[in-house]
Amino acid sequence: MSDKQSRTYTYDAKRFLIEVTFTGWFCVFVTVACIIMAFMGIVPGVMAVCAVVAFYTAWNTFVSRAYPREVTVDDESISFTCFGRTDTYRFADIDDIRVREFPYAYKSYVRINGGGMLKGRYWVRGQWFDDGEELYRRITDIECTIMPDSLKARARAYAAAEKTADADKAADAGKTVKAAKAGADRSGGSAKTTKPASRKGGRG
Amino acid sequence: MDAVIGFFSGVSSLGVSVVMPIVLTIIGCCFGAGFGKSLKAGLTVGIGFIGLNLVINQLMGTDLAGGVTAMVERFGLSLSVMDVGWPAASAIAMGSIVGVIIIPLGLLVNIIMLITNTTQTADVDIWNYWHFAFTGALVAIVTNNVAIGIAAAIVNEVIVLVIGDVTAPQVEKSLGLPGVSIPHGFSGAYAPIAWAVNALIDKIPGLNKIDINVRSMQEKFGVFGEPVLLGSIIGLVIGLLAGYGLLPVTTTAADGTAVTTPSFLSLAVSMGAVMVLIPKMAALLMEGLMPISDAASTFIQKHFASRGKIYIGLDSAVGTGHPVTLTLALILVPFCIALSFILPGNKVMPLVDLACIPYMFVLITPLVNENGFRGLIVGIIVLAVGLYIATDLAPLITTAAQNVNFDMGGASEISSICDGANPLTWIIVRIGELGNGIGLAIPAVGAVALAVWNRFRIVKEAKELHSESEAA
Repeated sequence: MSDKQSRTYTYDAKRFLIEVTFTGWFCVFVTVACIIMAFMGIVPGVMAVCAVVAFYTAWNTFVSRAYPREVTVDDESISFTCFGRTDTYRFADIDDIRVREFPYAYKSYVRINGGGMLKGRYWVRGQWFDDGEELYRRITDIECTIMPDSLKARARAYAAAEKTADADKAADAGKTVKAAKAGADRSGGSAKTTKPASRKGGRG
Repeated sequence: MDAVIGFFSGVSSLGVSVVMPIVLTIIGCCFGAGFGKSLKAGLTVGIGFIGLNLVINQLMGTDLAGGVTAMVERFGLSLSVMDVGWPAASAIAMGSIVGVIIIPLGLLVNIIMLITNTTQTADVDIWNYWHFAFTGALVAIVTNNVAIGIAAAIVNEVIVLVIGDVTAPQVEKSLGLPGVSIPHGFSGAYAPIAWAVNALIDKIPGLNKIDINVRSMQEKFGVFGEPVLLGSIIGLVIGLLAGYGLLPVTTTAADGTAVTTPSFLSLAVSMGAVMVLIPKMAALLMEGLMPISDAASTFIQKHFASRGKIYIGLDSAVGTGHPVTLTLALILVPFCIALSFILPGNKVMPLVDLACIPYMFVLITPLVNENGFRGLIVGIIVLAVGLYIATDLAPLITTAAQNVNFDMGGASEISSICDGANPLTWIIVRIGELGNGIGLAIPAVGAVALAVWNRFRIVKEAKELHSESEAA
């Protein structure tokens, strides 16, 4: 577990306004509009699909609060804050945490204790948080710490072991090269001082 | 065997939107996800399929098919095959008899391969088993034998699992995700081609030094890389080339019925909407399937606790965000359209699956060590060959679509880039049909040989890791 002190990571205010707040309200509008158009017989099938997708996004935004504005991590808990509600999870109380990573945007989809329609699912778009990369890494570390027997945690342990083994090999190889160089220098050192003579007359 | 196939044939006749929820609910329960969660996951997938097909049939079938046909007639093009995209291909695959059985059978094959150390990958990406079913469905049609089709699907899976294992170290490094492999039926098929081209270029003096920095190009594309704009531009161009006007025009056909020609703007909006809605539906499907995927992971970690390194097989979507992958894909979209016009003998008009081009590169990018030049060369080759493959498989895909009552809208023939242009699918289908199915023995032997070779590699790697840890 990271021994960093409590730290709150915050979504960029402008981006949050556009990507979460505005989008959420837009989806509410689209849901209503699509339902009305479907009842009016305007491509009802497509309108129904649009309504479902828009409703799901609006639900995630305003009910599940799945797009946190702030994420607070300390040594004992993790909290997700959105639209005035803070969901806090003590690590000791988390039986199951799953993180699906999207490394290029430092994005992660976090499900805690199974996740549910009302809470427990969070899309953390690290790209737009201050120190988003650090947040992304802490979240993935938390998953591996709470669930050390998971395939992912074991894979990370293997990767770390391989890295250490490679580093040891490189260090050993470096030592060997150093020793060989030192040996070469020692034998070449006498040659250096007598080089002009040795070139002309060979080594003594 | 006939009774088993008869049973699955009856089940598949219910349609993919009914069958998939049932299959997934059962599988989720078997993995211990709980009835409620499994049912919710299954229903999400069923609803997702209905949504995808509605989007494709209504937006594409009504507007876009007409526009493409008009454009083709106007310019005398031979692009009579419409790319209906991966959602249609997946619906066709999962709606077939092979599709009904592929998830439980594929999982069983994966477990057997894990037990026998012929793979290190636990492929919990259940959604993408449809790629194997697609191959199997086509083989079942050409051989008129469902059992051979099922065998072909398994052969496809075995090969893709081995490719996933072998590419995993580079994928781990490229994506920064330890323990992840990508046993994806579409992305994996391009790995051997990337290897071959990369190895060939390595041997050519001069050429082997060229690299193009594509990372910086990504910013130049700006908003034009967004799917909604890409789709809108393509729809607009098709509408203009089809001779559509700014406003819709209603005319009277010879039989007296009113025919409305849409405007090029509505075509642009339709195509843009398709490009936006499809990924949203796919994201919903992904979220819906996660409980079952998680349950499968837990099952594997519980029953394979003492195994060596196991990779988690994920959807290649985790890699589509790589800057080199994205940029190469964006550069190649206009290339793909241009190739479709100029390649002699090509009949496929790439449309919906232009958005799938990034998936082709998920394994290509790490295998060419993120070299933009090599990535472009591989991309042009695979797209050109892919269009011919999609043309060749179009009649089979159309038949498969008709078999599952897929509504093709106005299109006479359909195909897709994913998996209609998949070289591995093509090889298995075309060799498999020889001798009315006997030819499948060739790729089957190849798959077994690969699996055995992979076992030797895995055992050797495990011994090395074990001796290193003992030495430490």
